[in-house]
Amino acid sequence: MKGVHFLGSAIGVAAIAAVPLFVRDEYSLGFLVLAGIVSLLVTGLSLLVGHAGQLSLGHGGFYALGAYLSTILTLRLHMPPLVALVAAAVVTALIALGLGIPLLRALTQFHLAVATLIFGMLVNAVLIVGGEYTGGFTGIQGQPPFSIGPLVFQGDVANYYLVWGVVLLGVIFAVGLTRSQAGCVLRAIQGDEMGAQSLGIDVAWEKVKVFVVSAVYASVAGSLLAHYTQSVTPAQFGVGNSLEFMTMVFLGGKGSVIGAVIGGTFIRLLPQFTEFMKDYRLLVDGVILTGVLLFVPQGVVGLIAGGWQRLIPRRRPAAPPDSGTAAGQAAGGAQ
Amino acid sequence: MNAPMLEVRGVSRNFGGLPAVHNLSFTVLPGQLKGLIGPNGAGKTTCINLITGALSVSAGEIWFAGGKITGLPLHRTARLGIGRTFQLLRIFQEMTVLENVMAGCHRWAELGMLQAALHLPGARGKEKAIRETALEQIEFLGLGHRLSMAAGALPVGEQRLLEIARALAGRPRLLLLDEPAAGLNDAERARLGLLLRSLVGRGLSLLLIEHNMDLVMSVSDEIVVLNYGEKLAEGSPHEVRNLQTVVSAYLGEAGHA
Repeated sequence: MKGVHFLGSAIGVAAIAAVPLFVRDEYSLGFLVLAGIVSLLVTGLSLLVGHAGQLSLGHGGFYALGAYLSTILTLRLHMPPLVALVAAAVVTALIALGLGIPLLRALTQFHLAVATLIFGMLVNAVLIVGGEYTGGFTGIQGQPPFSIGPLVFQGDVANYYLVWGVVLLGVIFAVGLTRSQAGCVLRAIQGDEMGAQSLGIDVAWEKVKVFVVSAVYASVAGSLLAHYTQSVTPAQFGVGNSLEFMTMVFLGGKGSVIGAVIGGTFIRLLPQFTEFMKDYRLLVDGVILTGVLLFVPQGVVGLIAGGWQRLIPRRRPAAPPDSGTAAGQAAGGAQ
Repeated sequence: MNAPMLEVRGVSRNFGGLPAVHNLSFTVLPGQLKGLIGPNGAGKTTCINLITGALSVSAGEIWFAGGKITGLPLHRTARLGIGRTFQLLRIFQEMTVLENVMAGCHRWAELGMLQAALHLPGARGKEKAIRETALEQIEFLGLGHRLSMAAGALPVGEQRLLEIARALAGRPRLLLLDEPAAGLNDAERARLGLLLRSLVGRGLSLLLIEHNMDLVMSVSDEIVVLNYGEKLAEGSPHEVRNLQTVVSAYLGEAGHA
């Protein structure tokens, strides 16, 4: 099974690396860069949603923070883009920490969804009324291309490799996390909070930590976006986007890191296929989200993995005796 | 010299003015198995919830291993070394048996997120220790053949054993068991009794809530009898069995199970 996973990963990476050899036109490649940026954000979000079981409708806000902070730090303070990206991520992490501690300690999942939604709207409002600092409705243009020392990422091909390279790092980190004891702890929280607490797990704090990690993913994605498009406007970070990110997580499969990348890429590329989907993006997202939740709650990756397991029947222990009888005994024992 | 592992001092808890537990005091000594019995609604589960901090006390104090733990939340008491199981099971249904028990190792083997995700030095050794401890406890509870099965797919009796394995993986000093034998058949129950005695033999302190009188009478060093939230009697199984008050309040109506 490990060999299969390794082979699959190697083929996946090779395929992504080979894309620019076949997709020659800048226009299409550009959409793949954007898809990569969104996939990075959704990978982080899937840790929060899929593994810790918390909903956020405000990750557009963290995305915006990364993009605007990188913009302001490079254009106004003349920081190198890499330094600005790290600084933006640190600031975003602190904001997520400040937001997460009261929200995740006190609130239910539903309250968290509403509170993060309001956070996203608030960030957007600040961008619009920010005057010369944020450029209002028209935003800020003219960001320098991303660079690491003397290496400048100019153009679509260079940005394609930059962005998907970062996606790869993000996926490696996320997979490492979910496969480790720390991932076990997150899923335990999703499974039963009180049960998790009885094992010494500080449920509220673990949720805050993963909330911060997912916000950092969003911030880095925002920084990459600002340097790639060399333009940021409030419209790029609206509430509709936050909803779309959630749709991507659920479409891919809510417990799957790879699913996040697949979901993110698919939905971001969708509008390119037809004009209709460009005009009615929110509607299409809504239909996809509803359809997934109703018919494929395990997501695309779950569906494929399920089919795979049916194709290759594994040797399993005989089915346990009907648990109903055991429950009956429990009731009997209590008489 | 034998300072108590757990000391409950005059603890009360009211629910909307009604006392669920009233002025309750008892101790569990190191390496002692204490039974806690009483009719339905006597306040046994409330008592475990109060000790572990899942519920807060209305009055009184709780001491564990020489320190006052009154008011500490559930995860903090667990951190200190109080393991527990639940009458209404709280296993992680979608995780495998192995993963459930590995999560139980959190108390002594917490890995930082960065450390875990990036396989930083120390992470590998810790993961290995976690896995070995988990496997050991699973074998101990006789669930070795269920390793990669989803916990929710186990029969109820085995889910109870899984909760015990999960709690033991945290290497607790005191273990509170809330009706561990419910859902077990006679053979499994007998095996559970041996298993509990072997845990006590290793120095673990146990507080056992159990409805099955044969089990609780045969494994307990001492028994506390609760009725309407108050301590009705305390003593060896032999003493408790022969107390007229206990017989009339409890054993008389439920003792023949």
